[in-house]
Amino acid sequence: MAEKSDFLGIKNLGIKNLGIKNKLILFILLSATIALATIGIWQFYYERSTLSDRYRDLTRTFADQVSTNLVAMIAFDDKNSAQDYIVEFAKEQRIVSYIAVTHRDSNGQWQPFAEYDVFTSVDDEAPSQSYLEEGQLQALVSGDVTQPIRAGYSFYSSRSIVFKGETLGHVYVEVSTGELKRTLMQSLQVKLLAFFGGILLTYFLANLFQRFITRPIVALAELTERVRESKDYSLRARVFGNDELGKLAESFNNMMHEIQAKDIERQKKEAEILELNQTLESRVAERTQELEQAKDDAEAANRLKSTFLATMSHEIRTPMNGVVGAVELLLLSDLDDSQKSSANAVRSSAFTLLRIIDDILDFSKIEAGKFQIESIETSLRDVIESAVAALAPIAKSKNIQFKCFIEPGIPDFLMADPTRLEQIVTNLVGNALKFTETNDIKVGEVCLMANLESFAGEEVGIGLQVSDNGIGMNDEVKKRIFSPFTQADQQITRSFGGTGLGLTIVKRLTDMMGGTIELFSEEGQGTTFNISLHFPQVERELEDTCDELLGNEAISIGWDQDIQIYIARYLTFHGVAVKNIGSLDSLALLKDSHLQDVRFILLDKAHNAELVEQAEKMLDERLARLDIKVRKVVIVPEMQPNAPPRLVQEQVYIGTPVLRSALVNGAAIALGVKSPEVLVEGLDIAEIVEDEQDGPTKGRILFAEDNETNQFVIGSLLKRLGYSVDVAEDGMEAYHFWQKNHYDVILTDCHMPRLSGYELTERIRNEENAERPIPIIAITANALRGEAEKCLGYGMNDFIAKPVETVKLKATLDKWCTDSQLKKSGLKPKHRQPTQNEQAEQAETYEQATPHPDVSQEDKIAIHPDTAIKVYFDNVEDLYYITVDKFIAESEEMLSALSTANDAGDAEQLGGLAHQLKNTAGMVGADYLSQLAGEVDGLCADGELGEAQFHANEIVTLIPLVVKKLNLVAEASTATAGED
Amino acid sequence: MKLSKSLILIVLMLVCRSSVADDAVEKYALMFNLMIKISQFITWPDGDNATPLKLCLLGGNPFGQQVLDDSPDNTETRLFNQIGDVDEGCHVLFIDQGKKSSLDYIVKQVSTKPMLTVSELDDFMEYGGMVSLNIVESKIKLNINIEAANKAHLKLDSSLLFIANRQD
Repeated sequence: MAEKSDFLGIKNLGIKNLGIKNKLILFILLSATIALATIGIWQFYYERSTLSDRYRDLTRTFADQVSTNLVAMIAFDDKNSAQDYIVEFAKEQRIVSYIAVTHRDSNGQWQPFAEYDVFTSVDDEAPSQSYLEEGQLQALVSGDVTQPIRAGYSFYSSRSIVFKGETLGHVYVEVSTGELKRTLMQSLQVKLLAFFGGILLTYFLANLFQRFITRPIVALAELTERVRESKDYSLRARVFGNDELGKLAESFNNMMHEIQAKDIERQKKEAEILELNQTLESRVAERTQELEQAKDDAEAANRLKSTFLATMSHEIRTPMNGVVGAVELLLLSDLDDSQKSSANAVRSSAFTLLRIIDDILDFSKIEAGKFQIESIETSLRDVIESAVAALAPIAKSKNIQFKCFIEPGIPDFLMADPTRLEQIVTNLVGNALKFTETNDIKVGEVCLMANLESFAGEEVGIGLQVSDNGIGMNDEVKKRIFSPFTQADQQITRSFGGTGLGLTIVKRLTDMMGGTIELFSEEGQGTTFNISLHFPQVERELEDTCDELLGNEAISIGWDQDIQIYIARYLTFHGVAVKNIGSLDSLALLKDSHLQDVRFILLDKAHNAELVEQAEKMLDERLARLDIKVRKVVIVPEMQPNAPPRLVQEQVYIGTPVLRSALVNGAAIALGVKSPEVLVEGLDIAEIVEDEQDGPTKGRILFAEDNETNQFVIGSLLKRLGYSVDVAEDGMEAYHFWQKNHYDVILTDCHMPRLSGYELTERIRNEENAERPIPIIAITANALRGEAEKCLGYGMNDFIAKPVETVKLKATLDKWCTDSQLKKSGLKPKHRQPTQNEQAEQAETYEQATPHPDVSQEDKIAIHPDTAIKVYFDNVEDLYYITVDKFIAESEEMLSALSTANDAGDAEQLGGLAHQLKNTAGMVGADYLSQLAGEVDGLCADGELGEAQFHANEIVTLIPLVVKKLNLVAEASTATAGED
Repeated sequence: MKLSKSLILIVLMLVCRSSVADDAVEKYALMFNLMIKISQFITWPDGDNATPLKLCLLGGNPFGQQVLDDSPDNTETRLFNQIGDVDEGCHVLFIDQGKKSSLDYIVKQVSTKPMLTVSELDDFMEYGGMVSLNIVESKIKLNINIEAANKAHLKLDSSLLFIANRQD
């Protein structure tokens, strides 16, 4: 378009940007100008041409007329008339400027006859100057006038004057162009006037009429703009007519109609989308709510499960205390063999049950992610030996050869979690023992090995291997063996029992310790688990126990190659040169010279006892012959592996599996560098107890316990174990006893009325002779998380978890009584680490609903105004009682708020209230309530809502009782005040 | 403007040539020539081309015999005394002053005949004569009565009118 319109140069003139109105006017004016100019010019030329023609004709006419009219005058030779006539004629015609007439004179020569010149003729006279000179006259006469006689005039004409065939003369007429020019000029002026007038008129008309075209266009343009701005698609253009503009407006309206329809449709769709969105949102919200509800339900269910498990655990454990205690007592009484067997079965079952509960609790906690791996100073050897000791009886009962080897090079102390390590070992070995049997075909064998895999810098890599030659498992089973509640198959479950959680827990624990576990198994051939773990090393001074054995020589006689190697490596590590004798032949080959240097002899009577005894006999003979007297260390299967070596008739007995500690101790005793701890024989509890009873009193024990059942059960046990016992009802009484009497050991419950075990310990530690602290052993069924540390933190020396096992009780007391006696000689007792079972119990009992089941109701609502006044009110009693009044006044509100929050399961609210209660209860001296509230607060913060709620329930029941008690306290105070 | 119904008097004022003498002979000779020239500007009816021109004199010969003798070849001159004698074939009839008294009658006799009536009397027009010709002080006085000529079916050459005295 622009290119097309540009041919007029419009683009260059900037017309393109003019408004359509101006453009229109301009174009019309341009057209009109061109048209008018063309017409004007054409008309002018036409007019000029016409006028010229007319003048030319006139000239000819004039010539004709003059020539005709002059005939008579020339004929009559009337010059005057002729002159008069042409002057008159010229004047009459006005445009005639020159006339010349000739005639023949009397001589027959052509002469001028009459002449008129508009410029020079005056009146009727001839012009002063004649133009008819010789040449022109001749031209005129000859009829050959080719140019005007007077130069500059366009129109001229000449005629011969002929009368009756005779040429009388000639006439020449010129017509002035001045008139023509004047006429043309006038015409031109009129035309110019008309031209400009026309243009002006055109302009006005164009301006007037352009509206008919521009108005609809401008209106349309404005409308378009308005539509664009307002988005109002209902606007319509006014249709002015049925021309193109009208059609354009119509088209625009049609288009608008369509747009409007589409807009409405779009709005409708938008609304639909919006509605859909809202619906979707509400649905999402609904679903979210449902999901949240479901999640809450699930969590509530989970909490319920936790609570249930905790409750069940507690509920099962509490009666188990009774069962175990009672069975232990029963075993101490006079029973015949069948009765004893039954009682042992009951005891065994009780502990199995407890272990199952432990497993379930551990698994629950691992699943819940609440499980924490500790990193404390740990003796791997102690941990493994402890586990072995616990498992040895099972192996023995199943007649399975149970071997254990802990590489002596493993550092004594590592940073590890002893409880969980022992759990891993126990579970794996227990599993191996469970699925291994000794029958006619083969001897069942379970081997536990701890190897030093790497020892680089600070980290120690330990490889634990547990292998058996049991039933093994196929590939399918291997895949899912680490999944919870999985056993090889239902048949196995029926055959071997168990929860199927053991390996799962092992796997999870290994993972949590950052270790790896590998499984090698073949069905019917056996199973091997390899666990690889890394622990930081602990820098410690080496104990110089190895010096005891250094430089001695020994002979080890045994038919089991493995055991022989283990023994050799243990003893070699301690500097003993060992000669292994694995057959009678090799014994025979032994030279006498060798026997000369031998300081003790090892006899493994746990394997091929007959052959070993035969060898022993041969050796005895040779020794007798050589008069060599050496002690023997005899390995007997009847003894517990960790039982102290016993010296009986110059023979030291140790149990199986052979443990390094027992072996080294036994060797030391055999060498006479260490005294035997146990000199007795008999390996079951009754025997031990009986033995102890027969002896003198081993020590005086103060036993603080508020629970009557426990007073009876444990008190009886202690007496049976050969101690004299004073039983205190609570801490306060125990404190008084301690003040009055001397005791070797104090055995105390932690939670008691009046004075708790902790407080008792604190008081004693504050008051006793620091040089000789009395061993205090905590005994509680309520070992909360970190209870062991707490006990030790309060200055206690050790602790025993309920239910109390006789062996454990005895071992602990033996240790501390001895220590107590050693202490007298200035030796410091070594604090022991909690063992696996104990810690498992701690962890498990934490889950129990009632945190302090052994705290009596009385103790729970006990108020300690004195402490509170001292601690919180700087001994200003009034302030305390004001606080008490306030607490009482606000108690109902607190109670209802707590109940509400508790029922609603609002952890935040409950936590806040508990925190508040912890402080206020503490200030009024309701210590237990405060403590309980503190726990709820902590649990809420940890997200343990289930447990928190459980404790909160107790708080709710306790508050009214505490308030009642506080009322009494307040009244007493008022009474006292009144007395004062 | 229309001339009077009966008579248009045309006075031709001619300046005589230098040869024109004051004396009567020359005057009449010139008049005779003029009369012949005038007749050249007249067209007679019925295809009569007036050759030879029959010039008739009534009542006398003021021109003299000489003039008549010297008349051009194609001219016949006749003399008549009475109007009744005048030949029908005369183209020009010059009426002498002697017949002044009977002019009215004479003109009436020939008024419908194709004869150009000429007289030297100034008031000839008033009698219905066609051409009055005279020379006064060397100037030709020529009056032409167009109506009378038309009545006699004579046609005058227009250019003749430009030398006659026109009264319009």
